[in-house]
Amino acid sequence: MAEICCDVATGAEAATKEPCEASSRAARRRRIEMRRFRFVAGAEAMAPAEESRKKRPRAEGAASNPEGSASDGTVGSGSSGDMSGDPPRAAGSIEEERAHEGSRFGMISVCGRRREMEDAVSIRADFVRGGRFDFFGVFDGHGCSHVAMSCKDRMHEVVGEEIERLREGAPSPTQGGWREAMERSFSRMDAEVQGPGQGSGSRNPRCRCELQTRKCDAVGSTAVVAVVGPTRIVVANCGDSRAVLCRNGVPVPLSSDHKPDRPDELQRIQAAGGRVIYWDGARVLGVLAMSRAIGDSYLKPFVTSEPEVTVTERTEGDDYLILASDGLWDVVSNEMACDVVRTCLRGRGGGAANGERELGSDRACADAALLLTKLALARQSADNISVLVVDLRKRDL
Amino acid sequence: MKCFTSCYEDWVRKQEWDLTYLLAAASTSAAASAEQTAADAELRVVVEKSLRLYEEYAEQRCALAPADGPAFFCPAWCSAFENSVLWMGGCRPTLFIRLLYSLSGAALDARLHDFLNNGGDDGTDRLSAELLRGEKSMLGLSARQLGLVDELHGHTLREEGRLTAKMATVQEDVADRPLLSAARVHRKITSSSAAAAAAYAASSSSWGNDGDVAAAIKSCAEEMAGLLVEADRLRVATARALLTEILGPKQAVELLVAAKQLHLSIHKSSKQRDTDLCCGGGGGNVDGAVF
Repeated sequence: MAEICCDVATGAEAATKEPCEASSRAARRRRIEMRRFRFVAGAEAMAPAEESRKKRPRAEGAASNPEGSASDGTVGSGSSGDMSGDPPRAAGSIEEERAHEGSRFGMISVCGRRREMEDAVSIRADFVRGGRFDFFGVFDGHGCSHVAMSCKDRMHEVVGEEIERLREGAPSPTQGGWREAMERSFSRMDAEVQGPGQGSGSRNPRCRCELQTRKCDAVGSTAVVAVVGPTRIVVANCGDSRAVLCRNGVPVPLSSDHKPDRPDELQRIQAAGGRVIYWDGARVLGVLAMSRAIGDSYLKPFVTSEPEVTVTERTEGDDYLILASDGLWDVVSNEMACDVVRTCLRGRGGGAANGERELGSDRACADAALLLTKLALARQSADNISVLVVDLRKRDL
Repeated sequence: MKCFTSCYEDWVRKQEWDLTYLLAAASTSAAASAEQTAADAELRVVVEKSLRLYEEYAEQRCALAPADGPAFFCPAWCSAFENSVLWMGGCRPTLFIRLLYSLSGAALDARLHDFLNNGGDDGTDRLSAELLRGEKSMLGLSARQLGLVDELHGHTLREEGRLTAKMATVQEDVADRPLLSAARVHRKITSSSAAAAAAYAASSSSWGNDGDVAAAIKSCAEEMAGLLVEADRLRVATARALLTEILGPKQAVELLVAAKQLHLSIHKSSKQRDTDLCCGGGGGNVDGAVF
């Protein structure tokens, strides 16, 4: 279930620094090469993690990361770089040494008090050819984990293709263009998880479906996706995971949860001929406690995969973005979450060794994600908890 | 049965001693804050000793299991409440992780309040170290530790699931060969229920060949003994990984103390509950009626 972390943002300035290691260029390159395989967030010792991994057999093969750009694990942090040309995703290139304008982030995803892990988090820095966009996604599966895992594996590729297509037509797309691109992406992703021949279930040891095919139609996932570009943040959401922007110290939700009892959603479901039944909370046909999701073909058209999209122009006052599954939002308010992140980021990253501010910032994002996760656990969250914090502040190097 | 019970009672006594010992070690270590590394090393010894006790207990059970595997699955030496929360003759291995999450959350909200309201950066730094990188207490569980705990959690859940499935098979096998065929060997199907009742009354041997049934039960019992040993191994391995590989010595002592207090107080209270229900105020009162 859990990797400690495999965090390699493309062209990434990575999060941590072994305190005892000299900060020479060669040493850094060596570290970055190591990170292509595994990475531990925070500046703590690697050894015990390595050791315990050797002792336990590993079931999930997220160890090597062919694209070198995913964060694949439970704990991670890092930053995306400013790769101006085509992104040949060679981690450890000289590009590492350059100044970056990309996003810095930290994330944690844990099973928590549930007995099944169905959350998945995807971080793909610089994921669009010829453009500076970072992809962040949180997927909270239900029924089984394989739809969430498919979204983690594929959503950024689908969104990337749609953005490339969009930018071919118009180098600086309109808000409507973005909206359509995201809607098309979600619709394609939805078709993929329901289509035949998707049986990569064997790659996913978490999949509990007996035959491990994608035919189980009672399986789905929420999806909240943020595409962070130089001037805009595009958030597409279906389901009850959430994206919150902190702007000038105030939380601004960039998505609105799709609950069956949200008045407009209730109306949409009823207009389509469906019913919302209160059975341990409002549920579509008495079954699903959210009104939109990827997958769940048996509840179509009442449950739709069509996302709600917000396009937000970035401003100087944007501090950070929080993406999380309902394991966090069920027990922590937007305000509380923003307070926690703000306090963690305050004065950071001045805390890092050698005054490397960006390192401190990544660490602060990881700290914020950790503290929010621990707070959710402390407040008896009964669900899987995934928290992703992206620092949007301008870097003053 | 006697040696089974005394094995458990011995373990409970050891738990009590060990708890006293752990609490003493924890307070000594808290006092000796100057020599932090030495104090930590001492605590590690204490934790190791505690783990050794647990391992010895598992070894004793392993030695006793072949004699009577099923006895461990509904032990006469435990209370009804304890038995009803039992998994494979002991606690669920994931219970250690749940306990850890509960401990790490205790007091977090209050400390976080200080953290958020502390204007001075010095205070914030101190608090953030306490909340995020403090190996001194469970409260300060770090990102690396949480990642490792989650990894261990996943592994333990899978192993629990694997053993649970095996146990289900053993339980379902009861209605299959060889037990079923042995049980039915002399049973005559008769058209009249009166005749059947008469046959039942006539001789117990008409229910089956006692020797064969006993042999079939024995083979089931052996499988259960094997499962008990596997489950104990998983419990010990989970505890060892948490206490020595993931947690710092202070955190490990904190977890051990909580685990022992939980076990001992549940054992004592629920035993008392059994006594009360059995002979005490039972019968007339409302509680008695409910249970």
